[in-house]
Amino acid sequence: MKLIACTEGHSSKIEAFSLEMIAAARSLVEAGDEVVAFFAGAEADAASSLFGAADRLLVARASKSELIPAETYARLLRDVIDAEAPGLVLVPYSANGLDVAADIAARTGWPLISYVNEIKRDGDELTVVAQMYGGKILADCAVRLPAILMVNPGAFAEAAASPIDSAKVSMIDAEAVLAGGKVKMVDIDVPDYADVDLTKAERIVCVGRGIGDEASIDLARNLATLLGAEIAGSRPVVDNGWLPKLRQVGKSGQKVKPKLYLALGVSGAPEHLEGMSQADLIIAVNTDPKAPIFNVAHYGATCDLFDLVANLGDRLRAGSGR
Amino acid sequence: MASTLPLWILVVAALVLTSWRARRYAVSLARAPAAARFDQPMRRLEGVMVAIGLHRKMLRKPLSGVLHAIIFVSFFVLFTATIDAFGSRLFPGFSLGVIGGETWIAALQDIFSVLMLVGVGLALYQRYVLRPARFEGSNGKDAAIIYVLIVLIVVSLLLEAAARIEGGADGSWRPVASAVAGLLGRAGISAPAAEEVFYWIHVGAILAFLVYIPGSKHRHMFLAAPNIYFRNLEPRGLAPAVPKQREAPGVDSLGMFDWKQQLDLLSCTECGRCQAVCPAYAAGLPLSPKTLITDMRDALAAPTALPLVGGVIADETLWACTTCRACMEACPVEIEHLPKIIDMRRHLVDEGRVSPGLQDALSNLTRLGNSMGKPSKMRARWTKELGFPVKDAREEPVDVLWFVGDYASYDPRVQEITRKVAELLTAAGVDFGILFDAERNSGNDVRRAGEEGLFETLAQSNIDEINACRFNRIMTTDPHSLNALKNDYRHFGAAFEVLHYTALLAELIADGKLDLHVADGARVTYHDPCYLGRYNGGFDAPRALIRSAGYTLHDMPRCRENSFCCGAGGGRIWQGDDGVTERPSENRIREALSLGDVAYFVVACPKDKVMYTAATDALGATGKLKVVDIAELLVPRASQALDMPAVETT
Amino acid sequence: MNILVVLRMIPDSAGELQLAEDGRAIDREWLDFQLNDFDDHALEEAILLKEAGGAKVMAVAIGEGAKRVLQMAAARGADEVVALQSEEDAMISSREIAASIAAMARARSVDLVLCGVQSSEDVFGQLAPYVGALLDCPHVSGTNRIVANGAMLRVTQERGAGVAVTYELATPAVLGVQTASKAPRYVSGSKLREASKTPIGRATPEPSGFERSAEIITLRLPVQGGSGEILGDNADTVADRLVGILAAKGLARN
Repeated sequence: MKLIACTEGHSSKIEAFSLEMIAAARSLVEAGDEVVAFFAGAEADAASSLFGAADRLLVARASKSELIPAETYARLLRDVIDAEAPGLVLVPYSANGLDVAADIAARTGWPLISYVNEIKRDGDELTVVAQMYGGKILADCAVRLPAILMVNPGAFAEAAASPIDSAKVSMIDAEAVLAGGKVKMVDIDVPDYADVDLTKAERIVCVGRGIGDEASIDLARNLATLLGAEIAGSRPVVDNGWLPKLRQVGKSGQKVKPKLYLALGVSGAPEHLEGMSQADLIIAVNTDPKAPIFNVAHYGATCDLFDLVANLGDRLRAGSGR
Repeated sequence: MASTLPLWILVVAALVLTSWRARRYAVSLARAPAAARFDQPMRRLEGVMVAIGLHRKMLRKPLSGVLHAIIFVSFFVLFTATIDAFGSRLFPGFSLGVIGGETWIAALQDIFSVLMLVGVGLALYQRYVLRPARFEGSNGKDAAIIYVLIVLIVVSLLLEAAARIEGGADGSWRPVASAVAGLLGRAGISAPAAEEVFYWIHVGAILAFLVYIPGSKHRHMFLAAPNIYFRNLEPRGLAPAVPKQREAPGVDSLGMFDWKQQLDLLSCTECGRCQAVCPAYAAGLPLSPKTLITDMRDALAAPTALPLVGGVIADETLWACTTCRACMEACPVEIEHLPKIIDMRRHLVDEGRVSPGLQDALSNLTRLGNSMGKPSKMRARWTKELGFPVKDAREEPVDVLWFVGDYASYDPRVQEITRKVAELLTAAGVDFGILFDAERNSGNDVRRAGEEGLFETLAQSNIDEINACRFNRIMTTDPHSLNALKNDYRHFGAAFEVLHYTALLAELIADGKLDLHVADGARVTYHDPCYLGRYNGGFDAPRALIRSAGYTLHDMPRCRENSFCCGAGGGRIWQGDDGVTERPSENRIREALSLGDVAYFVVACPKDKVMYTAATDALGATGKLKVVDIAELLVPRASQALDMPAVETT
Repeated sequence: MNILVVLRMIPDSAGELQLAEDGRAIDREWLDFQLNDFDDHALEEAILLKEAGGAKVMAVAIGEGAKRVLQMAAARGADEVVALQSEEDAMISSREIAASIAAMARARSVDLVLCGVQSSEDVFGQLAPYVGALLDCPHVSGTNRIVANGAMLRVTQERGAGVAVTYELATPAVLGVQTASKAPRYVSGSKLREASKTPIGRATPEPSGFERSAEIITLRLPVQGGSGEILGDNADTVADRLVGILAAKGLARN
């Protein structure tokens, strides 16, 4: 059986989760199986130099494009599926993957499970653990192959990066498909992090919905100042306009890896965890003991966050003689 | 007399010009929607007497009160001179002489001419030397023109009399004019010619004054009394209903305001007392109650293409208001700022122009009946940690139906106090119950945020639930709920006996039902919540409680009617701090700290506990001042004494 | 332009979730349902498009409380509101409803289908790509800005790390909205009252058309804590411990 691991890259960079998709596929192989990595984009050389963990690499090369629209990606992937007849396709849970996975599922009629954290295989039966309700619930799902899985970044450890033998690389010319695409990319904007770069911050105090109101953000900001930390927010906080977009941690914000991550009133939706679970020290404060943030926290507290901010502030001020 | 015709021409011309200058206001007032302000004439008249006769509010600021009283009385006295000046020449033969125009009236005119100059001198001193901040944004040029005209009128009056005396008239009743006459004589001015010149300067200045007034803040000479007479006599806590004849819930043009609201605009004296007490203005927000009024007044005077809401008055200006009512309390001519703000907010809400924070809260209130977005079922969760069950007032009759309110029910910082109140009631043997998950936000601040439709939904739901219960009285924790239940719910025919928990506790102590541990007289200060004090007159019960608990009250300079808002009311607590340079709550904590000898900052409103705890924290003053609810001071005897925090008083 | 916007009612994200007795679903009896936040943004984007260039907006709601949400949609400016019947007490699987939405879009010659990019119950796949593929028209997910110029759409998509990509595509199309160009507007209580008279249409669902799908065997709450240490709920002791931990890791400032 063939297992297709979908990989991604744009703007001269390969997405880190690509190697995770290859590792996930690798973990499921049985005798005689083959892991085929699929890549679409201009970064063919980079893909070849990294995806050695795959048995084969199919590159749909579009040398003139900074980014392949998902519509084109899905069309190219469909051709690959037609040609290779795989038993399983692994798509990353990404902006691109969100458009690709269900599109393929609809057109092939195959089952699809999203937000996958764990996969077990028994012949052509899979048991899969997927997240629902913002990570508050885990679903054990059963599916028969062939099927598609949309896999959470961070759920699988990256496969070791190594070059792939050029003989195992097949090139497909994507330009014709790209030219015939109905969705055309007209602009790509990569922000300039002159103001604040959370990805470089060593300490972050992140506030979530539990902070309650905008006025209370200042309490957290005071604490951040005492800790020498940057203030950050989860998606709802930023969506409310309480903090600027550049201070958002998570899937649609920044992926951070600070030495200290203090999460105040953050529940820990999967999209948030994706952005911060790699932090060296995670301290989470949330009155709901079932909040998923505690799954990644090194230290957790369920006290009232305002009390804690006040008490911690007092001690830090006392400690520094202020 | 030869001057009769020219004077008639001048007077008629001046009157025509004055009417022409006032025509726009007159037309606008005539076309304005009706307002029911003609009831209770005696009570209305009494208010006018107190406000004008006694200068009650004016004298709260002594210097400006006194100088205004001097000018005011002088105007009345000198009006006899005006009558004389015009009467004698318009109607040859007319004279005040028969009633003493040349004797005692002359003496009064003589003395008050000087007093008037003293009054104007004091006014000049205040405006140009002391320069109080409340004049910021007032029209200085207007004031200066008026000063010049008054001085001109008075000086020309004196000089005219002096010239007459110099010309041989009897000066024995006019000592000042006689003294001036001596000077004139020495200057060698020809008496009859000078008298005529000064006369024409005098009447010319008076007519100029008349013509000038319609475009000047000095309209208040004529409009202050009617504006006070037609003041609002409804309870202070009752927000105006949306008039039935109005098609939209809000107001988005000046013409939609009723005649009294428009009269307010014309009556403003630009004294700035409202601005001086406004928490939003102090916080650096783009709201001054004074310029709110004068901006609308100017738009009434010179119609503009700008829309009223979002043009003449910015959205941010309207949202800055905490509805604390300090401006209306301070206004000497009874201008009603809040009804205007609420009506314009109603328009913004109807248009969907609300800030994200407010939108969040209002959406939560629509969906769940509370602003926090918490399920109704969690409303009574605070009762779980009590050592005793709380009665469900929907299931069994109770003496006191306790309307707990959102913050006291849901906010973890306040729940502890709510339990404390429950324990005190139980200790005093009060038979009380609550509505559990059937209670909804009272809608007090929803209404003042301009969301009339949602307010009606919330109010109706609460009224239906309350009416289905058997009880004698309602007690509220939150002064905001108190106000809504006691006042606003009248719109729906609901007449409940509602009291604040401080009032009930004070009553229980007075009746000997609650025996308190008595502290050692430590000094505390107390913050009067707007909706308890200014709105509903609840000043004394909290103070009695503080005394009963054995504490010594050291009031802040701004206390009782003059209390300074925490900044949370009228929906502000749901909005952001954008543009705030100093939070009202921090301003207030600084005031308490400056007392220098208080350890506790005592509050009687859940929102105050939240706001001031955050403020002391932000100021790093948690070690110096502890924010406690009044219920926390009350420790039933036999129960443990309250631990005083270690406080460094400086 | 004819716009169809999909409004899915999902369990309140702030509420506590409990499992049904058979363990295969969540217990829906005591849950509060609310409009999927992303769908709320999709509705706003539809109304904004209508205001910008004229369009007829049909709102289709599914799930418990659909009526209330449809009245809200009408108050905000939807021209037609339809409740799509769904199985009571069952999760709203986007894979299941995609065929119904596609059929309605086809029947009404809809030019643009808008829905939220995700929902908390779309474990078997997201609605926008399903509907797009079923209608065989282009789809883009994760939009934060949509501008229409005749039949041409200019769509900005939000990607991770602040990267924004703008695409052009022609209608008919399906878009999965992440954020509307402007935050969803507030609807006043009086407007809601007015809209409560709006007639609500009904639609019956189509079979999904999928022969094979994955299935949920069991649901469970995540195992707590992992390797983390729980410091308890006393703010005082927690603060003491944290000061110690920060100091030990060299993270206490100065």
